[in-house]
Amino acid sequence: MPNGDLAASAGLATRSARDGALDAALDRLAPGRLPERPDTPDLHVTAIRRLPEVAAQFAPFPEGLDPRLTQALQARGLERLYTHQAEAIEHALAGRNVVVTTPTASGKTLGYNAPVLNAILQDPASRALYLFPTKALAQDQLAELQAMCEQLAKAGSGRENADSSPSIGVFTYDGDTPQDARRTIRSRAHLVLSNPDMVHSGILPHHPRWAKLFENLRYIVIDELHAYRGVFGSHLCNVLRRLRRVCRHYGSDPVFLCSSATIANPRELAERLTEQPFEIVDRSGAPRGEKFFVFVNPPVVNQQLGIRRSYLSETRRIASEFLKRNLQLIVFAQSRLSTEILTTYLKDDFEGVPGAPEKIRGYRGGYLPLRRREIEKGLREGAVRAVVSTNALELGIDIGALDVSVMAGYPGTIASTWQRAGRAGRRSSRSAAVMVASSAPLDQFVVRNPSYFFEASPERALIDPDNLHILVDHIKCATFELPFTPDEQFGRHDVQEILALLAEQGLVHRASETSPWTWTNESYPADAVSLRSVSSDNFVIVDITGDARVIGETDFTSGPGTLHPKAIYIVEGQLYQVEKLDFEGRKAFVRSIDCDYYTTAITYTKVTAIDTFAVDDGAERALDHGAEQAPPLRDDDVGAELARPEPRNHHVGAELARPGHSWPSVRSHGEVHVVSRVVGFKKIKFYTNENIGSGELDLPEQQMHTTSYWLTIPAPVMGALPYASDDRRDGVVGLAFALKQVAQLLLMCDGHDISISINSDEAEAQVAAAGPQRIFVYDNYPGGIGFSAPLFGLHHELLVATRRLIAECECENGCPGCVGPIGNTGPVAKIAALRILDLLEGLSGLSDTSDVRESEVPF
Amino acid sequence: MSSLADRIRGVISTGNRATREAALTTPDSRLPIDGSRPAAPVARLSTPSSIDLSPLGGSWQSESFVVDRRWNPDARHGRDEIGAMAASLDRCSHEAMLFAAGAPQVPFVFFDLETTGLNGGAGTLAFLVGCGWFESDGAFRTRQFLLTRYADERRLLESVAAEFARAGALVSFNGKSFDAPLLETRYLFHRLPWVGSGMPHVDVLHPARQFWRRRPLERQPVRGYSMATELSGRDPDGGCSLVTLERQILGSRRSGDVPGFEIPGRYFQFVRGGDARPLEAVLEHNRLDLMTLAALTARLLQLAHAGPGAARDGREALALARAYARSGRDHHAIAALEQAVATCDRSPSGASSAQVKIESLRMLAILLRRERRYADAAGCWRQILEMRRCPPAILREATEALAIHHEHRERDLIAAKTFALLSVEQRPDVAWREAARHRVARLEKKIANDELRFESLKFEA
Repeated sequence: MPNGDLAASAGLATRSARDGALDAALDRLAPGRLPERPDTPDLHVTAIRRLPEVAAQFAPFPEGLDPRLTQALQARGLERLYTHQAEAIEHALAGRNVVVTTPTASGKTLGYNAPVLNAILQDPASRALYLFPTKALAQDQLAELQAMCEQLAKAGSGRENADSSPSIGVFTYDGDTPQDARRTIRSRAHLVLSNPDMVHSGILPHHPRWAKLFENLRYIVIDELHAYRGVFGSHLCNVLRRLRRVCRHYGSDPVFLCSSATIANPRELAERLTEQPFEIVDRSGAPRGEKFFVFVNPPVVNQQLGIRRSYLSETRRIASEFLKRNLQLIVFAQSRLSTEILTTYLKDDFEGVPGAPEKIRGYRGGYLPLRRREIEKGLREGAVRAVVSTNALELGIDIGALDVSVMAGYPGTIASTWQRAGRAGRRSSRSAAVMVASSAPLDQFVVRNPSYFFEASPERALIDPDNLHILVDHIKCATFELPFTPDEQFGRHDVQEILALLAEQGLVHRASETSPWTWTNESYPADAVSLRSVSSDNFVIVDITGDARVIGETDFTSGPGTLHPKAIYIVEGQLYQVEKLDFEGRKAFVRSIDCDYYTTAITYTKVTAIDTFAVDDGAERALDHGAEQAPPLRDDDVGAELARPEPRNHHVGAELARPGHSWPSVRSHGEVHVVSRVVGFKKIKFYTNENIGSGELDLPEQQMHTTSYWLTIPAPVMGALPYASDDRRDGVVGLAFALKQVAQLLLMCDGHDISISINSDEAEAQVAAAGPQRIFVYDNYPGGIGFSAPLFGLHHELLVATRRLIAECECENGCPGCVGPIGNTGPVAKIAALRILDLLEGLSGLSDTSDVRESEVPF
Repeated sequence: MSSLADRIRGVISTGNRATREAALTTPDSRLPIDGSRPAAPVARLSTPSSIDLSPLGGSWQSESFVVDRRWNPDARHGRDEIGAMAASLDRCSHEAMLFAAGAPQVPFVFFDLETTGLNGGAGTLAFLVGCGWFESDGAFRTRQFLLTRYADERRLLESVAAEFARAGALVSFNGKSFDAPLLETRYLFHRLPWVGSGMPHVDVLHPARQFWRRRPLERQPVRGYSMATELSGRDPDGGCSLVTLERQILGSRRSGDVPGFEIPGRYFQFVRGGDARPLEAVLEHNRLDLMTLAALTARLLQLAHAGPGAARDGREALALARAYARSGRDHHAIAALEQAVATCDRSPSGASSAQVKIESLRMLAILLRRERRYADAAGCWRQILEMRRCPPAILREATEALAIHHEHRERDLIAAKTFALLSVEQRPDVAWREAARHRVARLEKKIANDELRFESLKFEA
């Protein structure tokens, strides 16, 4: 069907040269049609979808807008607004919090810039604070806002009447702002463009110096709201609690204007982050050209080991097809290393003599701002024909509209895939997005099940602002900023109780029951809290090759695994070997080294359930799973009233589950105690990934309390497996490996956000595979970050999708794309894991993989 | 099930570990006094209904707790009598213009804060504001405002503002970067006007570094670091903490002084337990700081007034010259520099003396050139070239200046070329060498031309 569309569209006579080139390139990618096309032999294009053209919908400027502003906008060529812009502006003018979620390049920024500028025009004392997740985004917006303010000033000075437009100060305020400029900015900025980290450590603790801002703060703009999930989001929520507290102190009550990429729960996320009710604007009025979305799975080159052709080579070939036809494109790579590799490939293929203008550029974190600006400009002006980027260009940096977006590897989430695809797309002409799967399990699942991607709603963004570790840190910061009154609330837990416990440590004090809590410590608490991690405890890495110098830091949890003695530590391609790990002093001493291998740690982990919040033995599954509820939350849940429970069948992966049959397994979630110890390491050769040696280690244990979901495989199921006990065990290991990948997919989280562990209780481990087996999928942060309860709710989808991942994998006995590489799991892991899932599925022999293979793959 | 309280306790204790570790990396934020962590027992003490402030010997004045003290004119602080300080300060007060913007005039109010931390921000309080001034009879008075309850801060600030308002200038030690901004934050916090804005402020730390620091000139310390260490009482900064200056410049010694890093801890102990005794030493420390600040100021202004003849050594003369030059008094500066060079020649021992001499000659050369005394300036540069241990940068400057001098003033092209050739060798980088070679080439051309002209003259003759 999609192919038919393509053919039909190819027949259209009226099309621009660019459209023609795009069609030709797509045609070239589509395999099998022409006999003279030996380069695209197999079924490696798994889907082509066509997204039809959408016409613009306009609306007039809202009544309440200052005429000076509308005139300035008109002078910039904006005669009228798109409907979503008008809608957002109306909400903002009426003082309602609003979150706008429309596609990339739909003009979201005007939706918040217009009300902000309007407020300043009407009362020059008004102030607004913009929060961007990165400094680069703030810089990008600075230029646009300054241009608009200049326009306003010009329009004002042109007229004769004295009440012309005020000069509006727009400044970024972040870690790069020079010290001597800060005072000026504090007094002159109407619009402060900053980031959460700076607000947390540089603005809120110094709020008296920002009194003017806080007294007159009308709007808080939060751009790229979807970036604030997990740990970062949980921190931001607390920063906003502090921010609103300080605003109350100065008598202001700002309105929140947010923009988000497409996620499942933008309004819920906005409400959770700000603890305010929100309006949502999600219908875009912006026009969009026709777009093709193509999924490519590199062909298998070794059936037995399940090895596919390198996805980077495949990406290079595909990018070349577009570049050859002079289409402008962006290539997204998964890491800094692959970005550099692909840039080199494409430069070799397409760049002329040295010294000629560079047509192919790389782009990633670590490049200097000046170079980045130059590349962005080159893209906008068309001089740069292709850019290879990490996720650095996924967020809204203005690079203009490109023809094609090629993703080397699945970006990890549906939301982020759409976001990257959105970097290509002109308003009137055709564009394309191509996703090239790597051999990672997640990639393989998505590329083989395109409907999962195209039909499911994108992921939910989860946060847990009341994680005690995070909450307590912010309560310290908040006390430093303003004393806590005896009846004040902060978050879901009893802040008074927490303060009393902080007083035991001498950190805070109150003179009597009725007086406020004050900070009684000489430290500056914000310095000890990083918004990007849960615990402030970390290891620093000291290079002792020459004069000792600190070259990096690693959070406490991952310290032992990456900084154990003899570990190879890598910074920007430079290799270092750890000579000594001072565990107590939290320091690793490294020396520069030249070698051809890296190391991976072997970690022994033990998980013990401490407290089970919910358990479900599956007896009633058949009755209720279709109406699976919002996951039970711990104690009194104020978040619950904000949460809008969605019908489960709209949820990620839900369509995979066939309703009406049961999984007689036990699922649980609760609090667990995790003890892990690094017991050894392996040396792995670069490129070939050969194991070339190993070593034993004796490092202290690390412990944490966190939350976990766990699956119990009952003893009868284990007993019914027709394999030797080692092989049964391999089956469980393989199943756990696959479960983790799928859990990550369902939870919209990064790989290191969750971990797995099998069979916590040693006693059970002793009886090997005879007793019941438990697979824990736990939050990899002290205190948990809110994944386990949703995963408990997604249990059914988790098992169905896991089975599909394993069953549909083309390897024979397991590969990195399903149950893990064969060397890790043993020869029968794949079949044993499938067997376990079959048995769980009611011991009924419903192992029908046939109907799971849908009519998806069209070629 | 682990109770919430236990879970929170667990979180707090692990979190504290990190805070404590972080705190230990800065030398000043040490554990509270007597090394014990204020643990649970402290919190269990119920807050005393009435705090016993009697050990501090103060009184309540318009709802602020104030401690007043007086040094009689005939008392001594170090070598000097208080009355003498008062007199010289009175006589030389106009010299304060050398060290502060605006028009500082008497009465000077000396001030110094004791704070709950060194980081600033909304949660750092000035729990003790110490003020001092000389009275008309030559006595030195201190008035200290102590914050006995957090709730009283606003009134304290109002009292302090009244005290400051009558000053013709504020005088502090490192107050421009620490005390004044911190106090300003407190006023902003309470939405009170900050009296310090627009008032002349003499920060004695900066001149003190120029006049009295004993260390090589080029190793300037990082600002935050030196401030923290100076305040902590330990002094790797080469002798520029108040206590060190007190000993070396004033000849006074403290015994039983509270180290700076203990001060916040003592205050928190008082806040939690109500025991004012540990604060007694803090107040005394603050008073001594004020007295020393006043004495140093008196000495500084006296020196500026008397001129280089009163300088004890080359360094003081050089520092004086700098102060004069900054306020446009070039003739005074030249005299001070000549004095500095002469003093160094008289007692040439030590690297520091050589450093001072080089610095002085360099500055002298620049000032003399400005005065169009080219030959004298060149003399200074030549002296620099003869010095051993001259920093390369100054060496280069001297050679270049001499090359220019000989080319344009003396018209001695051969000498100019010698200096130009010398300067080619002095720096490895291409740009410098190119510039130097360019000069050499130009000189060679000029020399050739001159020879030609000379030849032709001969011919005509």
